[in-house]
Amino acid sequence: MKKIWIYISFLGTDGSQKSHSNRNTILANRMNFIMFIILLLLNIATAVLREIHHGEYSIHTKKLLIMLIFNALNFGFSYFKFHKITKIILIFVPSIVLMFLPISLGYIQNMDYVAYPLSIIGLSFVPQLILKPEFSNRLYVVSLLYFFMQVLLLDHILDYFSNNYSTFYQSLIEFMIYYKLVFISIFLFIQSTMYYLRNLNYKYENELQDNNEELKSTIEKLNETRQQLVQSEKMASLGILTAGVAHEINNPLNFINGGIIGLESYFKKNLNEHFEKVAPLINAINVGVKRTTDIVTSLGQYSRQDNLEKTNCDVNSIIDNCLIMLHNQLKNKTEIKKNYTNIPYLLKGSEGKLHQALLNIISNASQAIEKDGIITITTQIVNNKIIISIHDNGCGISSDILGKIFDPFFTTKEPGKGTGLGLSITYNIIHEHKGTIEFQSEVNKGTNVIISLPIKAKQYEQQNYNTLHR
Amino acid sequence: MNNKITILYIDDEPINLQVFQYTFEDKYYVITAESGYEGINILKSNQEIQIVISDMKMPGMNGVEFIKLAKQEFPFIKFYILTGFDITEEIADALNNKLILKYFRKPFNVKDLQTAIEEVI
Repeated sequence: MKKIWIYISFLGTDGSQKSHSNRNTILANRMNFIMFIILLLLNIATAVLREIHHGEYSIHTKKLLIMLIFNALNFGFSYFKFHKITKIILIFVPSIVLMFLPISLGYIQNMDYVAYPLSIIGLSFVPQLILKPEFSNRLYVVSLLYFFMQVLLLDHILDYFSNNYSTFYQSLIEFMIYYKLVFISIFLFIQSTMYYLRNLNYKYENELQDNNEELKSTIEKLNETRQQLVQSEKMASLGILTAGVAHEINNPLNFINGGIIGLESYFKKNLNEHFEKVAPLINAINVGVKRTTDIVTSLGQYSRQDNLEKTNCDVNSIIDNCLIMLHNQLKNKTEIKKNYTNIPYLLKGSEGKLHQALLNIISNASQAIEKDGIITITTQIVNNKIIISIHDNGCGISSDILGKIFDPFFTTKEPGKGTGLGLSITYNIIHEHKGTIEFQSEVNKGTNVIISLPIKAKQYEQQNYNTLHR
Repeated sequence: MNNKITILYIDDEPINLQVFQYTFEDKYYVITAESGYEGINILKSNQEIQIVISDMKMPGMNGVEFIKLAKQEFPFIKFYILTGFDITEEIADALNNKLILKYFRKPFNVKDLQTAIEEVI
């Protein structure tokens, strides 16, 4: 039952309750559904009663059936998104079918003179609930006038269709004007109250929605900042640690290196017949020293803060330079597509470091590709930023490790092939330049790396700006 | 003995001194010192020294400070830095002012050092 309710409510909408028109449609759907259920029950009840009393089909049973058919049609109109038709039927049809149809056929009873105006006042709630309460909304104005005219003219209509003056009307005619005044004032009172409340409601809903959206974006921003903070905090403390560690390791490394050089030359000179035997051992130590030195060197780069002077950097030429360096890796398996911006800009930074950062990214892209790869490198200027995007169609990064790629020493490469510091260093370099770096990746589809660095507009743009604002 | 180049190597770690001496003693005459102060004294008492290689981070006086001091008295000696650290601003300045000719990273590379030494002699 709940499922049907939800299904019917959202019939023909996109399922959200965000816009007013959506909410109005949902309300219209629900009204239609409730009306449908009530009429269905009434129809069943009259059918049962007819069986019991062996009664005939009267106009009063037929009108219930007709209205039921209209309600059923409405489901269809809603489903095919003819929401306006649904609303028009809901507003205009019930009073015609339920009242004017029997009246026009002469089915008039004494109590109708009092009951019908009250029923019309009841039905006049419908447009208030499912339409936008604005006087610029034509349907809204027309529907209010429609109900007002009914309240105003109902007794004349009743009188017109009753062939002979009903005795009840005869006895009422003296007071009719007072009855009418009461109905009209009730109608006006209710409509103006509804109008006021609905308007108030619209206003608060709008405010609430604006606040909600603002809150949502604030929370998003907050989360992002928190993540960045955690990451930079991690990086900063590691930087301090590694700087110390790197230096402390270099000294013993120096002993080992010097020691093995000494041993090697001693063997060559004095124990040459043994040299062949120990050569693999010496080699092992040398390889070990080399590897350790490489790690310590990158640790040094990792921890080094910006103590190098900043110059104007040309990102396009830095990328070209990286591509030249990686030419050997790339040449047989990858096609490079370049979409460079030609808008001039000023990027202050360390060319060497940016080179290192971009080299790491492009080299990773190259390593992700086995064959028939395409690396697309795009640079563009957007809102005082240069956006560098490096896209490859390689093996991709699975989502469970995507969060770890900036962690120092995290690597997917075989031991000895990578230190796990490349992206970590890249991250630091980009942050030193007050930029951001973001990875989007899908396994077996590829990876897109988006680096954004703040820039200054070129000199002449600045002058233009000045002349414009003088 | 006389045609061997005399080198002064300064480092606060004795093992570094030993290893260095062992590595280069066949080719050069190597004198070692454990601090800049000791280094100055040795320079004063030994006029043969043509080349000085110093560690950077040492207690009391660091490598560049020592070289600044020594350069005033011995302007014709060639100075080098051999350090476990990356290049720092101080070292970069010393390089720019020609106070030192080159800086080497630990662990040292025998060939690099030899080439540098033989270049200047």
